[in-house]
Order: sequence, then structure tokens, then C-alpha cells
Amino acid sequence: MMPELPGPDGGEVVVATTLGAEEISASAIRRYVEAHEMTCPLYSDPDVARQYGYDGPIAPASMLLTAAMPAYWSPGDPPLAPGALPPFMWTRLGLPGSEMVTATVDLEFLEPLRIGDRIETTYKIVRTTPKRTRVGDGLFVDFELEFRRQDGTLVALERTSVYSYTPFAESERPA
Amino acid sequence: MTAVAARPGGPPDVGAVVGPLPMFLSLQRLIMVSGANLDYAMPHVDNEAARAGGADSAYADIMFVFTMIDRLLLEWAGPSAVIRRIGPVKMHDFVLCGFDLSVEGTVTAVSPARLADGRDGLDVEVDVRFVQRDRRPVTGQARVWLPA
Repeated sequence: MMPELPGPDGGEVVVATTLGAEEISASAIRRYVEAHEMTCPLYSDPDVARQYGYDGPIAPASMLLTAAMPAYWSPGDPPLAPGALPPFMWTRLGLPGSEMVTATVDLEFLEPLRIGDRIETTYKIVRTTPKRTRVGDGLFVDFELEFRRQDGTLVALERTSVYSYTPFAESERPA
Repeated sequence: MTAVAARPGGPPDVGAVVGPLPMFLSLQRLIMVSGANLDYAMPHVDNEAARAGGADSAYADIMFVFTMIDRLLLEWAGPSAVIRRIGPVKMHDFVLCGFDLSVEGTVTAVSPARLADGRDGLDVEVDVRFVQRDRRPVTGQARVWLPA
């Protein structure tokens, strides 16, 4: 059951904690770099990585959300439904409304992502603001996410605002 | 995709151009990206699923958007740089496959900054935009640290 959420004046309620499906690996980094054609040598060359102060190759900072993603399916789970969305928590919190759009996303990187790191994410809701928009009646929900590696070190923060809403019926739609 | 031109030496000036990072965004590219970033939502890999949701074709996910900003900044700044922040990023419209895409930036501020490990340098604030046809489907800000 969803706890009482903070209103427009703000607050802080932890609504979920998740664990990335797997540790960051050299092979996952390689696939990520290949798919996005990333040329930075820090992701693949141990000598260059050490030259710039890292213990070895690191993952791209932008790979954070992939590293933090829980598994879509694990043994014992029911079959994955067709059309399944990425297992982030936005759509699984029981927020009011049938639709959701992301308004803004803001990532702050505090520590490099290293091979062997496993990322735990804590989801907090810090503000909700009811609003009627051109698409429906709903709630702007401001999240703050903390990303920590296995030793508890805070590696990144995310501030995301989503609009969770019920679309107007065609007859209710503002002109 | 073509690599981004590295920045000239010395501190960047406010108004300096970052990039561009030009590419043709193919459906195959989006499928490769889906396999790597684990976002298997159908509108990112299937044109029909995207059209059912109102887009003209399959479109990029938010992680692709962040990663292209990451590329733009680090290929411009070099491996001694540290990406400190990407955001806030606003998605105004779909980043569609089947069209050319350019990711571009402009330096908006430069200020002294020290990393948590004690290294001194400069924080460079960059306004970023995605340009596709006559649209700017993504705009945002980012901050990258450069060593002194």
C-alpha cells in the first residue's frame, strides 16, 4: 500500500528499493560501447584508465540506469507478459491515473562505475502537485533516486518529474 | 556515427560550440541499443508498435539520449574530463529512427571547481540540443569537469 505522499510543500517518503540484475561486467561495457559507438578509451584500455587515475576500465556514466535495472524475469516468476516495460519502479507504485509521461530527468554523477559494482536504487517521492493539463487530470510527482554500490557508497543521484494522469474522455477534452 | 571533434586546448570560452555529433539513426541502431541498455519496450524497436502510440516510427529511449550527451561531452573534452551532471533534460518529442540526427552543445558558463578527490579544474556548463529535421525533440543542460 502506498504511504501518504508529500504534497506541494515537499517532504520525503521512501517508496521502493531495487537491486540491479547483475554486476557491471567488462562484457556489458563492451556491448554498450559498441552499440553507441563510444570512442573514449577509459571504457576499454586499462593503461589509459590508470593514466587518468582509475583502477581499470570504467563504465560510461550514462550506463548507470542500465546497471541499476532489476531483472525482467527470474526463476520462479510467472511468464513475462508481451509488451513488458523495463522493470523500473515508476509504473509499479500504484500512482493515481492510467497514463504516465516523464517531464524532466536530471542525473548527477558522484563516483565512477567500476567493473564488479552492483547498483542498489532507493526511490523517494519528495513532492506531488495536482494539476489539470491539456491531456487530463493528474499529479506531477517529483522523485529523487539514490544509487549506491555494494559498499554503500553513493555513486549518483537522479531527480525525475513524472506526470501521472487520467486522460480526458473525448467529450471532456479542453478546446 | 561520426566522432565528435576534440576541443582546442585551453579553457573553453562561453559561447563555444560543442560538437556536433551527427548520425543517421537507423532501426538497426535502436535494436543494437536495446540489446545493450536492456530497454526492450516495443516502441523502441518496432515501427508498428511506435505508430500505435502516435509516433511516426520507432524512437530512442531516454538512456540513448543520455548516452549521446555523454558521448558529445567526453569526445569533445577528452578522457581527462569527468562528466558531473546530465540534466535537467526535457523530452519534447520523439527522437525517431529513419532520419538524420545531430546532437549539439554550446558552452554557457565556466567556473573553478574541485573534485571530491581534491583535483582542481573547471566546471563547464553546456546547453545541449538534439536536432532532427526541423524539430528539437530534446533539450537540456550538462556539466563536465576539465582538469586545470
